[in-house]
Amino acid sequence: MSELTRRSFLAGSAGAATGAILLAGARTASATDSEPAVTGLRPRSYGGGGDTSTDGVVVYVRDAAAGNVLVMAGEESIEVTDPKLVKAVARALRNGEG
Amino acid sequence: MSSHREAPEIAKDPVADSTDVYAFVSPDRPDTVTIITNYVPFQNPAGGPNFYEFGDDVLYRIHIGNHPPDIAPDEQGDIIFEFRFTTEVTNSNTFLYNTGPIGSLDDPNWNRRQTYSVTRVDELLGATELATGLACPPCNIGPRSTPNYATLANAAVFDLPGGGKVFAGQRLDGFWADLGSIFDLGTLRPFQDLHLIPSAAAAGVNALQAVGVHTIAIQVPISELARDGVVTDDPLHPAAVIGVWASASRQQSLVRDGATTARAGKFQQVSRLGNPLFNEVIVPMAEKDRWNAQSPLFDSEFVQYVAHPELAGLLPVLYPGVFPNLAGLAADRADLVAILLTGIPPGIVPGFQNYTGTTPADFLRLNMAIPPAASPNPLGVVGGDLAGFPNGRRVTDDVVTIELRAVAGVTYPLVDPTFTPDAAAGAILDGTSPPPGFLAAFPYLGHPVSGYDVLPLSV
Repeated sequence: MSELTRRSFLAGSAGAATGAILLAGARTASATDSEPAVTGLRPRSYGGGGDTSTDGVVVYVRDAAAGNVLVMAGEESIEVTDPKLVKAVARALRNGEG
Repeated sequence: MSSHREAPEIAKDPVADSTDVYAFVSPDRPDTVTIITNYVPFQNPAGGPNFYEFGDDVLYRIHIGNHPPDIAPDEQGDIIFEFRFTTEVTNSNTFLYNTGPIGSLDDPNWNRRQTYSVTRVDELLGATELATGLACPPCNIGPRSTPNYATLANAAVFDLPGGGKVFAGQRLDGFWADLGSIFDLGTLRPFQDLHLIPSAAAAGVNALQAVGVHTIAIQVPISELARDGVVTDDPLHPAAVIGVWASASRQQSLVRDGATTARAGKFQQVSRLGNPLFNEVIVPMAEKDRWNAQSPLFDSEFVQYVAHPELAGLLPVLYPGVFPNLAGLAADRADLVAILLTGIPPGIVPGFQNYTGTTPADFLRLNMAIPPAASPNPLGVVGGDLAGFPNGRRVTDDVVTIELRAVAGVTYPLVDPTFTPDAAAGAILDGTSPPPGFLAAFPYLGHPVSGYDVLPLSV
């Protein structure tokens, strides 16, 4: 998986902004989807004890057939129905970008 | 165990594993209630250099329901106290927990320390941060590292706005039980010679002797817990009763990406606890982790296991001829349902109730109008002491013996006076003694034993 794709879908070190951009693009591409309130996502830092934790945005495809996605960032989660996003994830997996 | 490692998944996550909940009217401050929750079970006091601590990534909560019985409880309770921890490493150039004696909570010799915040979330008033940056005491390391440990730990008792107190840190586990016996096919040491696989009489062994836990304790004025602030000395007043439970939650996702981890999402409950031994002994293994992830408000799914507890069926099998009356008891165990899931309604025990309504939920129910006992009986209500378990739970209550006797039928006459419990049911003893060192004042659980002072187990 390229770094760009890796950050887009798992965003281990890219932070909340990358995930928000991804979602914004996905919403634009799917005109029928309702608008999720991604502005409510608030990251919290962990790991003052010396570990290497970081905030990120995690996108979990909960039900691929229904296009149902759970987007997690900070201590918030939002549910998004976005078949195009799910198809993009599936396409990336098929193409071996990992 | 009360709830130490009681479910397969939470057993692998000790930092989030709630082990015991206590709730009682404070004996030295009877206008307050003390609630204690323990986590991180089975701490070997010598377990360094990475000694035990709370999880920065765990949300610890104490839930309190104070609805009157005619109103269904809230899913998360009416009042929640939330505890969040932050760990700091002061010296990144050493593997040591401390580089010299720790003489105070801000001693520079202490390398890895934790602070925490306390937030009260009220159903009506929302969230209020009561305190932040409070220090946990260090673990008890040994006479060179943590001399004067009691003084050090006592300095970590803090006042809260409104007259409360709080403490978070290592304690000597106050739970005691002969685990090695009980989990060896239900051996009860007083009757081991009568077991299906008999053995010679032997003294009980407290498997938690000298073991540490991490305690969150809070003392709150009754007026701040009771519905609408009603403080009553009438035990039959509906506002006298609160339901208490503890939980621990982790964020929904954890991604390991090389040496980096990312956590994200809402907090999802992974552990909870109200009555001792509920998940441990009542809920089947295959359902224990699901039980841990749910609110008590969904405990109607588990009523069947209380109404027909597996252990009540096993006792007559394991001890042939010893529990004949229990063997013949086929009816629903309405006594256990009341004790564990709804509270005891008025009219069952004279002058007492801790009823929270018909919704079955594993709350530790406390009638705050019952004053502390002058001479507490470790058998609590079963022993005629209304200030003890299952009216809340004090640190000195012998909950293992109480619950074993209740399951064996001692409490069934409360709902069916024609039932005669077996003589053996009232003779069950855990066979062990409580640990030494309970404190007369908050936080009541004793100071932990140091690793240096603990002798190796003999084999």
